Amino acid sequence: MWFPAVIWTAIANQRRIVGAVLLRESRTRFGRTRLGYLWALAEPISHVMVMSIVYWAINRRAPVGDNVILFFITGVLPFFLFQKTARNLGGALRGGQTLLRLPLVNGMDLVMARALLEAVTWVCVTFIILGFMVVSGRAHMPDHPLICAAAAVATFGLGFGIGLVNAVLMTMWKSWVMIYPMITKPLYHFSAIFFFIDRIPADLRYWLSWNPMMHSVQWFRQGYITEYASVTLDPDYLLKWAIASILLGLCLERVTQRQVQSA
Amino acid sequence: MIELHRVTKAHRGPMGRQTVLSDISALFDCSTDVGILGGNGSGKSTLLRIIAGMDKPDYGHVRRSVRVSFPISYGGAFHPNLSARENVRFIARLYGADEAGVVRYVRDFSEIGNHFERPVTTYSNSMKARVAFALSMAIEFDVYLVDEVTAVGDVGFKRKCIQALAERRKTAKLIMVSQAVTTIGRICQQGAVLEDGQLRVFESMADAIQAYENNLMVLHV
Repeated sequence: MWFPAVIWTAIANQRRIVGAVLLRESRTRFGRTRLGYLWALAEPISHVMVMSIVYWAINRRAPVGDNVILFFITGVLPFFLFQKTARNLGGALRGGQTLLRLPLVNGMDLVMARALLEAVTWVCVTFIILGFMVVSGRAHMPDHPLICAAAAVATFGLGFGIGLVNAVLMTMWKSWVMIYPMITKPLYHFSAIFFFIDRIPADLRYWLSWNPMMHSVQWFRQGYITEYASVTLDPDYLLKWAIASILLGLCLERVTQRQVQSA
Repeated sequence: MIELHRVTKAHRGPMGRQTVLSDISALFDCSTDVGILGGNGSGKSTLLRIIAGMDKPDYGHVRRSVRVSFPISYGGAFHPNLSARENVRFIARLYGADEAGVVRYVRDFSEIGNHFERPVTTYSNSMKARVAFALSMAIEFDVYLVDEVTAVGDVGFKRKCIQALAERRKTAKLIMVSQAVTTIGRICQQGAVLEDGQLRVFESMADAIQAYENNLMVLHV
């Protein structure tokens, strides 16, 4: 065996601990009722519906093409992946203080468990929503499923990195709990979820291209619908953000481990 | 083997930083029961939590080559909205113990009936303590950590607790902290005294008790 037995044991232990925390989180996060799981599905759908109705009411045509709803869905889904991951990971250490008191559990276990929970939830929600669209004939299959998957992985990476940074900051510096939503709220409007990035004035587009989430939305969408291929998209930029934020988050977690554990 | 290496811990409170443990190094080979004596607020519980791994020292580290329990009767990790069954199953899973077996043991031992299926937040203190004690006994450790003798419920239940602990002691050892010499003196063979953030380890419990009582005499005269 090329892997020493010690490492296998360590991996098995880690898996067991993360698995146990994951099951507990899924019980408590969605509340005691099964309706909790529905909420994960209802939230993105409601966003799409509201925007579709607004568009219909002011009689605008789809930003490009004729499938407004699919356009919005392919924007809302990647955005929610990022937003939910970054936010719920943010509460992992702060909300897990009682778990951190258990000798076996350390901060990264809590973060990993929540990340897995977010990822699985998102994949389910995505398959249900897009599956329903395809089956009911309201959408076609994705043109390039692998591109969609790549975009989702990169987006999840960014959500994980920012979420890890959040988790540390929200424990060490309580004001961050208020500040983070404040500075990231505008992202919803600046991520080209409800408009096509290439259709807006060049100087504005330049500023929006600084937003990694714009690239995430665009990448996912053009993987699904090739006709939305954009000249503004820069996947590398998103990937760099994802990697940088993960590294920053890991370093912060390492440096503050002792304080977080006994906060 | 449990090794404390230069363990230092301070509490940050309204009065500023207060050093509780300063630069403690010690080695327990876990072949005997260890009793740690210390007065009120001497940092016994903090030391026990650090040995358990629940708190991290500000400086220094702890190494363990044996399976060390969380302090007996510790119920602080229970999620208030989950039932005792769910909480117990979670901790059993965490430690890789047989889930069904642990759940059964705790349910039978704690004798709280149908409350076992209700959220922990609805429990009285003594019900919570019963579940917590049963849980510490249900999982097998090499070393159990005991923080004084916490009274759990009525006399009958207390006797049951002592029996359970005696059963575990056939294969496991104790590390016990207390401010009273009676129980600790009867149970432990190796002793230590914690005062002014320093831990003095003695070969025998009797020596530790003597040193501890001498200190008290000095303080009281």
